[in-house]
Amino acid sequence: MTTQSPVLRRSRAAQWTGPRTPARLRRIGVVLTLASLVTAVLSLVGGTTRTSAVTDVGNRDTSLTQVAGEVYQALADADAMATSGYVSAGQEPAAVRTRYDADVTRAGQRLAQASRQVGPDDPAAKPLDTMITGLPAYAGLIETARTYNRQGLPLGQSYLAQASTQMRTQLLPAAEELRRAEVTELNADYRQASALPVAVVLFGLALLIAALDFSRKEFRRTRRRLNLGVVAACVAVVAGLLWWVVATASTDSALAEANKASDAATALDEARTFVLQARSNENLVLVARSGGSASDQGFTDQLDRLRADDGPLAKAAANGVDVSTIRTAARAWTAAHKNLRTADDAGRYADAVQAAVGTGKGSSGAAFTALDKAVSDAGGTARARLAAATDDASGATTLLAFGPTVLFALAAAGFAIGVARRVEEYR
Amino acid sequence: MTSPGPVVDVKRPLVFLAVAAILSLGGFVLPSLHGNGSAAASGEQAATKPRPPSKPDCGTVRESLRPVGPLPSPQALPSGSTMARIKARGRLIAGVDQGKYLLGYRNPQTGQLEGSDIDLVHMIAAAIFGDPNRVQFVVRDIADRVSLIEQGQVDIVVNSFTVTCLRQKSVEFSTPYTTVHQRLLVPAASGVNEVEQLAGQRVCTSIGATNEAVLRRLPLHLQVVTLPGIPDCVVALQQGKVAAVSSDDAILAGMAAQDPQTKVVGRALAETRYAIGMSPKHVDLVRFVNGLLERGRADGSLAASAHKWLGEQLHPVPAVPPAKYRD
Repeated sequence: MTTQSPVLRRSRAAQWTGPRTPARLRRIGVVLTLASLVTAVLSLVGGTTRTSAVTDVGNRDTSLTQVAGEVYQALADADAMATSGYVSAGQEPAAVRTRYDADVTRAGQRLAQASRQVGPDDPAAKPLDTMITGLPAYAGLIETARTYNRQGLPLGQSYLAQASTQMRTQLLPAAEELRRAEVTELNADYRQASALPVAVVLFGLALLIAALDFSRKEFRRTRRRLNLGVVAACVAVVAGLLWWVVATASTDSALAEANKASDAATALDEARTFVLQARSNENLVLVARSGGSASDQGFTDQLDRLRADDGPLAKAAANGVDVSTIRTAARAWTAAHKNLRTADDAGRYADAVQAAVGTGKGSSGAAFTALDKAVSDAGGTARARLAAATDDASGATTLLAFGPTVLFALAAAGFAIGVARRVEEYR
Repeated sequence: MTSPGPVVDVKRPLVFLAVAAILSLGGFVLPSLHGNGSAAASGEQAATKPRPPSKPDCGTVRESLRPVGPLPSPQALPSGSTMARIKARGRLIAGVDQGKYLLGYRNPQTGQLEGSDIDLVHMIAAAIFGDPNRVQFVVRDIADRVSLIEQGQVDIVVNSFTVTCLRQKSVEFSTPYTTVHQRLLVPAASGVNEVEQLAGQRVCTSIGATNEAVLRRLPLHLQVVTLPGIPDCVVALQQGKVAAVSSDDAILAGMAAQDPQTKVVGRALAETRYAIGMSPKHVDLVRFVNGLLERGRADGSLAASAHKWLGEQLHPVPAVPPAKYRD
């Protein structure tokens, strides 16, 4: 600059304004450089959002959705076990007691885990509060029922009934609300994680068109190919855009699989809930000795809902789960349950109780255990599929936040240098 | 291109970028690739039975039907009789309770039903089958006792069933087998001795029992809470949700026996009698059961059963009322 003549120095502003070619070139160079930088920033924001959404899918949502499903099952199972323990007179079977204790512990752990991940304003906070305060109250009622049972006093059954009512009217609806909230949240994150950031693509394309249009005009005007800087910048823009497209395509296929696996796991959670509630109903009808078909309707309803055309088993099958084992087990339980009811309705109460608590072949107890195991095994497989798919999705977003950003920044440098070179030629 | 001259211009790239910016702003509404997820399971709705409003009593109670001739043996039941039909079925179907300690309750250690009401069921089964255990028990809320008979779901109801004129419209009662008095169950430390001390407070009784009307007639503005059964009321009392439970002394005695921190207090608010409920269509069964009760009064087995179950709790043990017949 010090070598410039005084005349040029005075007209510094004229380097940027006016109709002269170097000024026009300078202006275009600045616009292209700034546009590249803007694209880089947009790409950074889009990439960070995408990465964190995919991480959310993998972490908070998947685990919270799973926690919500597990809480629901642990609670429903605890209730089924508590009522089972009551059906079998005297000291409840050790296996039933152990399973109840494990259910309550698991529900407590999952609730603690969930509450660590949920802020006070989260829609999941309210149902969590209901369950965290309700679970000890429920367990207290069950323990009081047990104490009375051990003393041979019938007041225990009123405590059991109150506990069961609290479970059905407070805890299970709250667990259901939590599960719904988490599934909604998960789907929102799937949407966010799989959407192509429109701004990045549009800005990138506009930048590319502007650069090519500029080059074409310069070629027509000067009959000279453009210089290396501008070419490199265009290549960098194209590369940045391709990175986005490829990453989006591979994230999407992984997320689509994750979404299917998640839908399957949710459907199987739902299926297990129906199975457990049918079991509770079978027990409660026996406990209440309320014979007849009216109160047994609850069992039939739950199993009908399980097997409905738009029911959880159909949904699981549509999402790639083999449900044939489950369907066979459900048929076997329905048959065993029918035998149990026939015995009870014909006045053979002791036989009916034996069938309910029994573990022998053909007993309703054994058939329930087999069905419950088939459903939870399938649920475990679906969760493993989900975990693998979310891993794939987060693998596809590796470096997505920074890779294209760096390329767009390089494009900015390329435009700046390339145009500056051309301006130099007018010295 | 229409631009004059081969000169480059900054307007064109600016236009491209402006278009991109505008599209971007509008582009945030781009539909996502993954739509809505699976719908979750629907919750369970609590089913509550509508309760008929309690109606006032309708007048005087009718006496029962006289037994005819000597009691037939199980081998010689009159053919075509209700008893013969029950015997052919192979079991007596009895509506009972399983929550009223000492009257009709499920022993949680054995799973068997026991109590003074259950003794009566076994007595009737023994008279029909020669085997006291040929029984199918049906347990429902006490509010459903009348409908169990109306719908023919049971042969007999033995469940602290108070004889009332209103119930006699659809139930034929046996002669009464015990006399009871409506009193109060309160926490032992409450210091409550009479119902007047509970003015304005919450008092619990069971849905569909005669006790509710008695409480509501008292000029004490009691807040009467009704639950499906007296045991549910006791749970509410233990949890401090109600100040007292009101029911018949025989029922309350069984409740006090389960919780030494409670006691039965107060004067008799009402005196009623329990009887076995049957269908008005089964007149022969009613006469047969009355014959059995007469035998029980004569040989002291009714008094012995009452003494066995309630002797420790009630002083004096409720007396077995004498039989009266309308025919």
